[in-house]
Amino acid sequence: MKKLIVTSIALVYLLISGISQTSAGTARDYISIVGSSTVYPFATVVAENFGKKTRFKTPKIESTGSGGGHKLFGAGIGVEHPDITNSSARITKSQLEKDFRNGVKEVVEVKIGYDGIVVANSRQAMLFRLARKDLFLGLAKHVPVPGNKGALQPNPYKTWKQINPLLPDAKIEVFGPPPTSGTRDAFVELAMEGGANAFAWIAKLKKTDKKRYKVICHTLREDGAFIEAGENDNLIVDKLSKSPEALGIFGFSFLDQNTDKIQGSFIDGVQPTFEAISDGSYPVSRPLYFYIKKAHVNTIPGMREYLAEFTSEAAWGDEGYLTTKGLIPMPGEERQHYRNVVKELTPLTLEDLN
Amino acid sequence: MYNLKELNNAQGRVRTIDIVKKGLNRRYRKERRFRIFGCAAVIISLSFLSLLFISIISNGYTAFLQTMVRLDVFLDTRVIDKDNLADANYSKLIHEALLSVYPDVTKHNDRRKLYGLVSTSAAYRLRTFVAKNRHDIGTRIQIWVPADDDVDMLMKGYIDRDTPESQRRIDDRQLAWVDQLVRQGQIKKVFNMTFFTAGDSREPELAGICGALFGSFYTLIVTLVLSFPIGGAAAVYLEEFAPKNRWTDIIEVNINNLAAVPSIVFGLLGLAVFLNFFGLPRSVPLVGGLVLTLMTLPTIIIASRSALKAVPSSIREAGLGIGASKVQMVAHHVLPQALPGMLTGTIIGMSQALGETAPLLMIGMVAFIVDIPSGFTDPSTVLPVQIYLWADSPERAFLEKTSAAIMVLLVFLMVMNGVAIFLRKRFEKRH
Amino acid sequence: MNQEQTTGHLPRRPGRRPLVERTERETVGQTAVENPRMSCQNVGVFYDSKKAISNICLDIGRNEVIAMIGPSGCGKSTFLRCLNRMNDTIEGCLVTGQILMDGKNIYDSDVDVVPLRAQVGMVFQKPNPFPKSIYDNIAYGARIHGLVQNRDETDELVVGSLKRAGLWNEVKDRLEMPGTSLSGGQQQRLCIARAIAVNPEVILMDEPCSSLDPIATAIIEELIDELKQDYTIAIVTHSMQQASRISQRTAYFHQGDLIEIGPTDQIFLNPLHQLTEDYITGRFG
Ligand SMILES: Nc1ncnc2c1ncn2[C@@H]1O[C@H](COP(=O)(O)OP(=O)(O)O)[C@@H](O)[C@H]1O
Ligand SMILES: [Mg+2]
Repeated sequence: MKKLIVTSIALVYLLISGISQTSAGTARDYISIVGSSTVYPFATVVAENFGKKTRFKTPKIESTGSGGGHKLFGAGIGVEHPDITNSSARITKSQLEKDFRNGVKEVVEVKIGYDGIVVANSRQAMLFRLARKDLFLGLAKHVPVPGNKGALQPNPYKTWKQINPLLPDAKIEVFGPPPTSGTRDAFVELAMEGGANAFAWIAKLKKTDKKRYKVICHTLREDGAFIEAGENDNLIVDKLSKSPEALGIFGFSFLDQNTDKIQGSFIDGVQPTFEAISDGSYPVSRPLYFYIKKAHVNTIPGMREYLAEFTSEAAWGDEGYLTTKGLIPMPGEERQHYRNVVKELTPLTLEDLN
Repeated sequence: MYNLKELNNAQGRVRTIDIVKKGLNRRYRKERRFRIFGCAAVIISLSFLSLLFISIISNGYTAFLQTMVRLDVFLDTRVIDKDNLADANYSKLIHEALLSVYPDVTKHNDRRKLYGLVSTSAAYRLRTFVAKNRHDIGTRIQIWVPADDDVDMLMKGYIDRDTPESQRRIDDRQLAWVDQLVRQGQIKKVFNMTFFTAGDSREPELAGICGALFGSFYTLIVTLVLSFPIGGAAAVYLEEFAPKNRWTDIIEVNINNLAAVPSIVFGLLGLAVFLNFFGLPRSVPLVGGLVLTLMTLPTIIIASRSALKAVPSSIREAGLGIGASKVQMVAHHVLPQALPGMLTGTIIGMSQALGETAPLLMIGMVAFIVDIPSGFTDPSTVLPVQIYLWADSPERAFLEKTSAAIMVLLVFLMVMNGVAIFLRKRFEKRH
Repeated sequence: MNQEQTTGHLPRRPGRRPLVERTERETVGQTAVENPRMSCQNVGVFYDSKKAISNICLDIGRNEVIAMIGPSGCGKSTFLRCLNRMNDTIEGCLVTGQILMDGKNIYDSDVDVVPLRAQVGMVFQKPNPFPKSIYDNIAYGARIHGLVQNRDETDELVVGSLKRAGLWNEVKDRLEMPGTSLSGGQQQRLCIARAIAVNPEVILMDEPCSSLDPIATAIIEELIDELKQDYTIAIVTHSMQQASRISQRTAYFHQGDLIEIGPTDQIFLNPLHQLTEDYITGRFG
């Protein structure tokens, strides 16, 4: 009996490792890309065009989230590890250090453009003119007590008008992404932190008590005013057209595709448009990146050509096809800079991240 | 409660039939009530089901049509080099063809809008056409190319012309252009073959289900080939051969527990074992099949065991009594009897496997993959993943594709169940 | 259970010697025969340490029909199933003692049950044909034991066995029908035909007629009578008439003990043990 168990386990082991030997023996002939779900819609279009234009296979792109993508990317060198990771946030020092420890010594950073996060509502309702402070007061779980510096209270506001007399007398009801989403991260960092900084004592906390600062800014209401609507931004758009009272938080590309149903609220006096996000005047926007494993560039077929496609004007230029997918292009000089980075494959150093 | 004796004494002879008749109405009422409840339950579930079908079909049937635009393209020899067909600028030819229809469009921005009426794939179509019809180079040809997804949505009636221009994805100029094309008979809707022959794409008009279909097919083949024999053998061993003791009890409890484990756990297991330990490639049907095998095994084992249990023991005794060895008894008499039940269990397991995305997420099968997989080690996705990815796409035209993909999934499921029922019927007939 | 009853008390023939006391559980009568086919010595059976039968000593002669009778639950089936080791299939069943066949104890560890069961066939209480065609039902045993080499031999065997079981005329033009489509009596004869198709030396029958009507019963009894020319038959029956009609010797079991064994005539006309007499006269039951 024992013998049987041992032999059958050994058999299974040999079988699977046999399969993996034969499949690993044949080197990967397609590019493997992982990472941010925000960059995913752009990277996939580039990949598709690259696949159509060239004789190479179309790259495989997984939407794993920025963090998950980087973990896979930085696990090591070799065909079983991805070649490129997309990211909706810049790589951190500790991530890069970890890459180095795992033998991924040369990582090339490419910025591809910007993404805006919009707060939108149904076209049937009034257009909102919000300040980031209004967003913070409307959505944070705990808000400062007016006239009492340093004190917090559970969020008492029921309508927008209570926060700011200029806002409509509408119930606070906001659909947004869950904490696992990159859009949510960006929203709390850009909009909520920005709004909280309007209170000087909270802004000061950022230096003195970073933990408390984060708790104040990043904790959203749980009393029903903020509603987690799932990762799927389409669902939020759908919900908005059904409940005109409500606001929704999602990526700019979804606004761009659904302008007949929804409108983007002004934030700090700026409406989310291509131009406003591109020139940096719209406050809730973030740069998007991808990272290349230099060691793979010469082993995986098509790497250079893919990078050339991504950094071509036809793709990420002012009128490139990525703009039709909602990517907000970088200024011309910045594009030229990153095109050179890709050509030279200049690796990132720890100093670059200071 | 009637006391028969008392009744007899009081009223002379009371016949049982009278008592029965008295209660009869109540009994029938009860029965009727039960039947009504049953009917209502069936009707409610059927109406939910039909609601689902109706909403999916009404959302999705338009995806089976594709708007095409006819262009008169001049295959200019200055643009196409006969010796290097691949590198010619076909987009330019398409653009020229569009401009020849609307010669008054001159401003750069307007031209861009004009070019946007047809799909970006128009140039690739033209390339394929030219490669096939070399002798047409230098002449003027007519070619039907897919319209852009926004035009497609307009033609299918998803864009309301009455909304203000700024809120439409198609502005008034473009509307006028499209209307002109319609008047000139240069627009038609055709059956969307691309949907069934292409892999994924970020352009809705180019996206197809074929890649995911093949991915599901390969993945399920691996699952079936592994889980049916392994699950069946495990069930037969546990039910017919294993001694009944503490160990087999523990195994039984564990198998039952495994059947209730959330499927993502199997994905994590697959990631740890197949990818990290054995180094199998990511995103391939082989690994997907292995993971889904782990997931479906408990279901198949449990169903197979109850199928085996249902075989009357008199058959086993008959076999043994005539001098069959235990293996012969099981193989010749018990298994054929249990096989229909085991098949049912397998098909339930396979149907579950067909609908899974969570465990596949961990092993990289939730991915954008354009090329149609041609084997067990080509990167691929599966049908539910494709549905999930399309449902998550911003372009409006993917909405109908999502519903259409759900229809394809349901048809796949029906075909699979049909085959299983056919096999089961054949087995039942044979015995 | 053992109490006197006044009904069904036949008048005792005069001049008989006194009967063995009810409390006495030693087997009375002639247990041994000359040149036995099978010989049981001190056979006991435990189901999960609960004793079902114990201390059974009994010879089964060649070409005889031996009947086993007794109240239900007394261990007849249990004993019968010892004879071809069918008890092995029951979880937690322990058999003690010896059963010799051709001088070899069939419970020795080196004995293979497969050939044993080919040698000692069994017909069960409830007809249990395989859910296969009539033809395959008969041919199955011969096929697995390699008794037939080709289709012709198989055909011959199937026809022969069905004829001997008296079923041929009823099924000859529907051999491809499933065995389960026959009537109860026909099914039981099919099972007998299946058993004799492998040409065993001993056939064990456990109440083969209990679910059959009188006509089907008569046919099977006739069949048993014929079969005894070639086979040794051990049959359990709850019908004393049947036992007296078909058997040469009869064994009476009571609460797990073999109470009395002897020629059938003697058991029914002149039992030696009080319990036997109680049973056959219907005073116990
Ligand atoms: N499989 C079994 N497990 C446990 N006890 C059993 C089993 N089969 C029979 N017995 C017990 O053994 C005794 C004898 O049973 P059995 O031989 O079937 O009696 P009979 O055939 O004479 O009616 C009964 O008390 C019965 O409860
Ligand atoms: Mg019995």
